[in-house]
Amino acid sequence: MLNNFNRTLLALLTLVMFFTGVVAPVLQTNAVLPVVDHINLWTRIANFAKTVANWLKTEHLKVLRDQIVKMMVNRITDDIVRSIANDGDPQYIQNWKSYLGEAADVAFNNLNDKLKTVGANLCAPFAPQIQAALRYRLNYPYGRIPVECSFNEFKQNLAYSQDFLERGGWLVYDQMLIPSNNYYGLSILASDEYYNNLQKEKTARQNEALASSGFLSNKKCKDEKAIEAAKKTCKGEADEKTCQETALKTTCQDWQIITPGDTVAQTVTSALNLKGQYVTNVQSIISALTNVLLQKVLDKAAGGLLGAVGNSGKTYTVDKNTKEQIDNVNKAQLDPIKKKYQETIDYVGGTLLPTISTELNQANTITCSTSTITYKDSDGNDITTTVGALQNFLSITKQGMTGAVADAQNGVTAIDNLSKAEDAQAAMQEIVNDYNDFIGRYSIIMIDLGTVSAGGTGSLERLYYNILQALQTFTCS
Amino acid sequence: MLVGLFAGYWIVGGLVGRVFNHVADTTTTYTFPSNHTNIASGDDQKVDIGPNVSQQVASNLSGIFVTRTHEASASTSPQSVLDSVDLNSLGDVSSLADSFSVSDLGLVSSVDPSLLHIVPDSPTSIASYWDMYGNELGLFSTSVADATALQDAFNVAAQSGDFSAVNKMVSDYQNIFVAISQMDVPQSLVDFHSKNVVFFKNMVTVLQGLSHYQTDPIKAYVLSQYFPHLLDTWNDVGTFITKYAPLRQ
Repeated sequence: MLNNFNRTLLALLTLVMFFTGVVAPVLQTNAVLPVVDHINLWTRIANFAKTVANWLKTEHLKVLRDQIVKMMVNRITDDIVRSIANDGDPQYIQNWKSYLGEAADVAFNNLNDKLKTVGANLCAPFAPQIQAALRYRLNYPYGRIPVECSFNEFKQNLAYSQDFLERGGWLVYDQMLIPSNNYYGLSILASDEYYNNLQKEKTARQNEALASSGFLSNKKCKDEKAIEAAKKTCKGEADEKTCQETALKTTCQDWQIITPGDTVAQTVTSALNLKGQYVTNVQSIISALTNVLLQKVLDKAAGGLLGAVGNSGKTYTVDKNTKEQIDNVNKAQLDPIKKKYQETIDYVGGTLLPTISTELNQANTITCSTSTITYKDSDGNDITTTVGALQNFLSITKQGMTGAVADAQNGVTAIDNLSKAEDAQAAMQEIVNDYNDFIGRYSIIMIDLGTVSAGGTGSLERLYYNILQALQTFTCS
Repeated sequence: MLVGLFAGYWIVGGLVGRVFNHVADTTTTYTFPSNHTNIASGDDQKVDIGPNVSQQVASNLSGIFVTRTHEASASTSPQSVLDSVDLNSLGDVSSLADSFSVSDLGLVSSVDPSLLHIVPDSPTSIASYWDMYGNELGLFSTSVADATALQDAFNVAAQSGDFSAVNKMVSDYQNIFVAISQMDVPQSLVDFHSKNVVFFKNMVTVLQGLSHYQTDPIKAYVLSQYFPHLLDTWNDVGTFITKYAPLRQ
């Protein structure tokens, strides 16, 4: 039972809560608060994401890798084919029938040349008739008059031959009895010659193409006469270059083969197969590339997202395959550095230091340290100094050279141990920084290395040889 | 009873107050790098898959190989020339990689607060937020967070080329992302909510990237590698939920 005080207190509290807005919001809050276990839902989503992440890692990444290589190889293949298609002037045979059919053009022109050698020219009388006959008999759709004949010449010849037939005459008649000089005889000769030429050209083309696996050679016309004729014929054409190339195909008698067809064939088929090392190269490049992209995504310093995922940066690891690729990339970039280090070790440690040590020992045996000694520098100039100063010089030099060898050996060790580094990128950067420091500190040696690696004698080697010579002949005065 | 009722009021009120206080304290830890990609104005409901990274890389790589093929054709030892297309070419490709930014991959790390529907803090708005948020979480976990269905959808796509299930799934994810990004957000929960938006946005981006893996496999590959790190974001969300989300059974 509530007494008056309690009732009053309850009423007061209730009023206070209502008027201060405490009760209402809380009641409302209770009314709308979800019957939801947020933690449970979050856990289910987290488990889902973990499962997906695991699936991606163990299964789908392989699919993606295959897809990447497939896509790259397809693209490369397409582009190689497109490049050898060469914008309408393919370097490989797309249509054998058409290719061999082009032999007719060549054969016809060869025929014309052949006829000219026996005094008959398709640009001479009967040419229109013979050409018409050939077209009829062979159903040969030539559309271009041989380039030796201009249009005016063609018209003139036509008029002359009509006139000739109308005129007749014994002299002409006699001449016409010669097969190569009368229409019928010339037609027969031309026809036979044409067929012979055609067959020869076809056979030659077929043999060349078969030997080249269907790929054409790159040829360049060296026939100046044909080139000039083509230029003359095509002058004023919209596309003079194409016109000239088309004309030269049938008129050029001297082709320079730039690339043997079989080499082209071997190259392109090899490229299109894209097996072995080729695909490995693609995979290597892609692997390293994706690593660069991924690093960019994750690296906070590089503007990536790592900053948004807390302190999880160290949990990122690349898979074994990618790591190997990174190591390979690093190795390729570091090989020149390692080579320079090794050359330093060989030159300084193997050549200079032994000489300097010998000189220092020799100099230390000399008691008259204040006496002057003269030696030649690397350019042959006399240098005069005291024995004591030379001893100091040699001592400091030996110390510096020893340091150079030690630094170079440390550099080689760092490169060799790169694959063991936990953070390969950081280790790589350190190696590069150390190397830059190294070549700056030992710049004189680096200059000498250029001479030595080219087979010459380094200036330091000459200098210390000269000093040794001076010491060996020196006597205290 | 009166005492219990009274205590109940203050326990609930105190919990809300603590949530306020803790959210206020915690918001400073939910800062996102300012130099990162924000969801652009007007694009927050779309997932732009960005440029085709693979095509650009393919173009670059192809150029290298075509060049080498032509060089090889003039060589007496073409195969050796072709095989020399190795990591020496990587410099060019790495340069290409440098030309891509995080945004090209469609990932974001922060949300422009002006794009959020921010409302004043109040017990009502906070309760309403958790209500809506719980609904979306529930929708997500029951309707689309099915790893088996996801794998099946991708397996079908890989085997038959039928991406309809994959696309449907991506569309569902995107709808939930849009719903979450349009929620009313109490001021004190903006940072927490932003983290959710970033998570779901990147989740959609990754899945969308995966759904286009046949046309842009490199992007899909990189996004796949990124996916485990997305979980870290979600773990941070979980930490917050564990501490502050109201639990009602």
